[in-house]
Amino acid sequence: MFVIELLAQQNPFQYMVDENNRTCWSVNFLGRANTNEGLAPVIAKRLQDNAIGTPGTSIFTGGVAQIPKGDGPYILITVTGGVSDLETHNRDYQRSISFQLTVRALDAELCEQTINAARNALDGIRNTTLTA
Amino acid sequence: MTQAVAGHGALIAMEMDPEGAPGIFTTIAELNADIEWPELSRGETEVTPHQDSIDSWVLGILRRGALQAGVNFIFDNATHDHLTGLYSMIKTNETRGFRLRGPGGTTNTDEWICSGQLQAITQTAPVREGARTCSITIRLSGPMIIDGVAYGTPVA
Repeated sequence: MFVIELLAQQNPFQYMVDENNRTCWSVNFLGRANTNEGLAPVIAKRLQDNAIGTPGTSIFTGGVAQIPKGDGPYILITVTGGVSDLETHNRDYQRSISFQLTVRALDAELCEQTINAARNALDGIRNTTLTA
Repeated sequence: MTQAVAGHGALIAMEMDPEGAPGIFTTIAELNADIEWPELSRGETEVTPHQDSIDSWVLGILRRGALQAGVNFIFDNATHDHLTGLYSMIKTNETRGFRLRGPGGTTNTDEWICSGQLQAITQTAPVREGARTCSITIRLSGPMIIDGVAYGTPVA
């Protein structure tokens, strides 16, 4: 996936405490790439490469992911719809890519640190090929 | 019921080798902006005589505005770059053949064939969001052909 640009749409924000009394933080991303297919695994790999988590252990993707009930932090990547693609007359597409990143952890400070680290690892990626 | 069609899919092609065989066109890559076909107009001269109580006019020769377009700029693309593409055209000031086609246009159908020079090219690199782009202005010159019909043939 060649990412033209990927930008955080806001600073991370705390939005709830879950049923296991874990703090939950979130941040949304929006960008453009040469494809929008396979986005979640690519993002998970990027986080893993930046030592922010491990897919399947602390990084999960999708709306039906089974997030463990432990202390965390656990990261969930949920692909969202984005906006309409950009297209040239020649039918070259800049696909819209977007996802929501949420982190939950029993330790509130660790939760905030983790989501900030994830935001820093993803925000401002430009003209870069990412793989899953 | 309307017969309107979407404008998407219009294309501009140019002769990459103006010294070579004519009529060999290469589509300019990644045309990302509205394509402004050149305006056609005629200048006016008033010829109202004193004896008349209403105005009279004569229109002059056919004149064209510039052809405006834009691309997602790819610095090493042959139709964009400084070696054979748009940036080479502004350097050499050469005249090339251009072909404009509407969406779905084919030979002599929704097609303009003309000659021109690149008059202006402006490149933009957005600081935060957006792709690198170029806007171009092409000044057409001399006779042209619209769907096989000649416009502006020389007066004998």
